[in-house]
Amino acid sequence: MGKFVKRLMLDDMYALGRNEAWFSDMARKGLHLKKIGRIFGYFENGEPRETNYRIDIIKENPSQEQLDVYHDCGWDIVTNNRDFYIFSADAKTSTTELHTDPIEQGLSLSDLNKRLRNNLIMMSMAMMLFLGMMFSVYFLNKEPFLFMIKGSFVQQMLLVVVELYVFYSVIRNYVAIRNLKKSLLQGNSINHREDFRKARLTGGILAAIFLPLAIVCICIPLVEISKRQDYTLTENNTNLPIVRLTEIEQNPKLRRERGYTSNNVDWANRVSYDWSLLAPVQYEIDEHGIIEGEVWGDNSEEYSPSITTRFFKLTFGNMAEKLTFDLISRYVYRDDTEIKAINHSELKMYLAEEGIRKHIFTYLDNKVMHVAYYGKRPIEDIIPMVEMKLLEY
Amino acid sequence: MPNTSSPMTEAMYYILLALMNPNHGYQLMSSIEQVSKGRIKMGPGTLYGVLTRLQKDQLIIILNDDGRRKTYAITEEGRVALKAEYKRLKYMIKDGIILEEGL
Repeated sequence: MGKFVKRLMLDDMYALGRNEAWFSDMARKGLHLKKIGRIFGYFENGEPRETNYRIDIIKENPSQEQLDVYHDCGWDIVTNNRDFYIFSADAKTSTTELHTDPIEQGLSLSDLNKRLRNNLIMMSMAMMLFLGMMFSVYFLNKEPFLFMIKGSFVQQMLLVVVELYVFYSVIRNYVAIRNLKKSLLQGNSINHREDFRKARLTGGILAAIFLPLAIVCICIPLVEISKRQDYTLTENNTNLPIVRLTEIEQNPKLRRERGYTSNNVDWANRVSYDWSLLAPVQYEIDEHGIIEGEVWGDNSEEYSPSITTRFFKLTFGNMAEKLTFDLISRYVYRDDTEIKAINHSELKMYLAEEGIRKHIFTYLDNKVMHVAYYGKRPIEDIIPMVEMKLLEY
Repeated sequence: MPNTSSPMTEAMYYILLALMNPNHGYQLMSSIEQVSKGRIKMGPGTLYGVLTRLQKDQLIIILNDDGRRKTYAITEEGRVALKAEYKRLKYMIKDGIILEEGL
């Protein structure tokens, strides 16, 4: 037993003549076909030999009698993959050709042709549905950029590309069989020496592009999950891109207000870190406080200010402005809230006040920041602090 | 719908012809060679492809299957189709007679 060698099946399996020519070419180099799969062909290393190969599409398992008849005519079965049966014969001994009637061979492809056509129709409908879904997700969405960054946009686009590749191969399969059938019915025999090099090269180039994409497609969500982190915000100083309640309130009586805790994370004072290809740094940080002896403006309850910071570092800086607008659209709830655009030193800022809820949106280069403060201090006091954080982070 | 539409392929015609006597695949090829006086050497792929199709179209049936070999026979429908084709070919030959005269 010689060593086995794997080779990618780069050409369309249904291009019978080209594959037969390729197998013969391999045998001439001493690599004899043993097995085929959808992706690989397996060859055994041995003496170079002139071998003819024929691919026969047989729907029902051939009986031993049938194989014996083939054998008597010089054709021995090499392997099969579902209804693809591959036979070989020594080229030196004269053998009866496997198929002597192209029209009959063409008729024998009718079922396969019908099956591949149905396949193509089903696949086309699935593709339309899939593309329609993708389209609606991004174009009917009010905040497409935010969605792109938070939702795995890159991965979805890769998925579209990979889907298109699969679709392409389904079309290629169908076209190959349809053309083959047509040519056989016109009385032309299969060219068993058809040049396979160009088709394998094209197939190889496409596979080299799409296979890695498919792998990336699988890996991205794993990376995203592994990078995601939630932890409780420390009460000490941090180097996170946030304005702290202590800085805003300037009140020594400020204490932390704890919230719902699970998995050792205090969800009222929490740092969530996320990663995506388009925004490799994403923070959402909450901080809640309470000041004893002080009440809200309407004297209702003890004063409990809070602040939520969203910070994004983007891969592409030119998405920063669009993301800022999406954040405004997402987090400023009331439609009639006035959005004030101001230029603060070198930063463009957007301010929105909804009673005690105060929003500051700003961006610089590839950094985007949204600070939502619930409390009594005026928004003007917070602006320089936000600016400083954005500049220094 | 059985595919009895004329013209038949040569392979189909000769297989039906050879199956006027029930036979198994193994010997069919040599029968065909005999009946065509050595003119036709049918490939095994073609033979079994046609057998499968004719069976599906009910022009032939499996008379006997002992697990080792299957014996095929023509059906009544097959006979009708074969005779119709024979008649058609006969007319074609008759009409072609002018070629002989011309020679």
